[in-house]
Amino acid sequence: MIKLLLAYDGADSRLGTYFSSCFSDLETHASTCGSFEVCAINEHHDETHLEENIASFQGTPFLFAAYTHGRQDAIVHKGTALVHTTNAYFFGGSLVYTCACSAGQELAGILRAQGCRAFIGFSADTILLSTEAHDDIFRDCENYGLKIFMSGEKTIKESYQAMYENYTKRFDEFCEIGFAECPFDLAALLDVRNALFMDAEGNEHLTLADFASS
Amino acid sequence: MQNPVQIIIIDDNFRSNDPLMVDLQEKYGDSNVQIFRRPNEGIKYVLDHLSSKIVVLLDMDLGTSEKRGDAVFAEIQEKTLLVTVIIMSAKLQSLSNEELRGFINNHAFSAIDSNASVKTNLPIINKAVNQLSLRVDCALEEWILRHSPEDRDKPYLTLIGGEKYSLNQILAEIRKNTELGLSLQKKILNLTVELLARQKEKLAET
Repeated sequence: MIKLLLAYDGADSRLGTYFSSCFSDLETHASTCGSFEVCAINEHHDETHLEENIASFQGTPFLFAAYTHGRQDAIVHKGTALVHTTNAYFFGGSLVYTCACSAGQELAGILRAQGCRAFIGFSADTILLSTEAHDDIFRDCENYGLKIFMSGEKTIKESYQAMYENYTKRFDEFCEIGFAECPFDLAALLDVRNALFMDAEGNEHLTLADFASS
Repeated sequence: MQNPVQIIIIDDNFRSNDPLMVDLQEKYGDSNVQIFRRPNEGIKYVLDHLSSKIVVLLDMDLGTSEKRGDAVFAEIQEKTLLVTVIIMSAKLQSLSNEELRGFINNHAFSAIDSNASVKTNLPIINKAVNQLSLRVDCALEEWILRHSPEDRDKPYLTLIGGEKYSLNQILAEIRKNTELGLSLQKKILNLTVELLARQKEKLAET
């Protein structure tokens, strides 16, 4: 069973429902796959719980997905840094996959320097949020890359490329109704796609098999 | 529904039967061309109508007890950079270098001689009006005005920090060139470029 650690802030005043839905979507997907052991860090947990969970993996590589806010040097959970410079070493050997804004700018490099195998996230802030009517489009795009990787059939680089292409595909579909009705939602989707970021230098051929327990 | 452009003349001596006034009213509609002989009244009108497309014809010498045109210009610019201002004066040659620098640096559209003919001045004013249609804020305004007045006041957009904005508030942010307004304009421009690049045919044709 491959370790899958999911963190989300379901209590966030604006995005809590969205973060929770992303978590539920991926948790359900992992359950369907049948080959993942899922651990969750929600709004009732903190950094200590995160580190205890990782410690329980006893050095086994794991996948980590975070549905919460971010800044350049941290993934932020309930207003405080959850993944940051000081605990980056916990993520040695892992894949970090997150929707946290701007974490690609500095945190990605910090994690990679501590042995994180690959980081997929965003390198910029986006100030716009979709109107809630279209959260399903954003959620589908959000989890697409990780689901592809979890299939075991694609490398991390191929999964990232598929994620980018899926954003473009959903953008095209949304254009048909979105431009006249909600141009700002369409602009937000484009913003998010353009902020996509991956740091997997030297590990572009990483696959799910590299995370199997030995 | 189109939002007609407003021509606002701030000039203490401008006559209502001036040939330029007559031609402007004929082209843009009687109710869309107004004279304000007192600068504070003109400023108030402009600032109270930031959701409208406005071209201001601004005289420099507005009376001995009134503020000068450069002060009016600065007062408008403080609130919005998106109102088009044309300096209109019979004494253009008397403008100081400092005043000229101020007008240029703050993007006055043009300076016209009020003694010049309508044939000379009207095309310049028409050009200013035409350029309004090229601005993102005007395009967004047209899109916003397709919504009912009630819908325009409802919360429409939420930012990452949780702040909610109605369509009318969005338009005001754009016209005031706030950080949010500039960001939204840039995002709409990026969207337009992306659509053009992907050769989408439907582009604001509704």
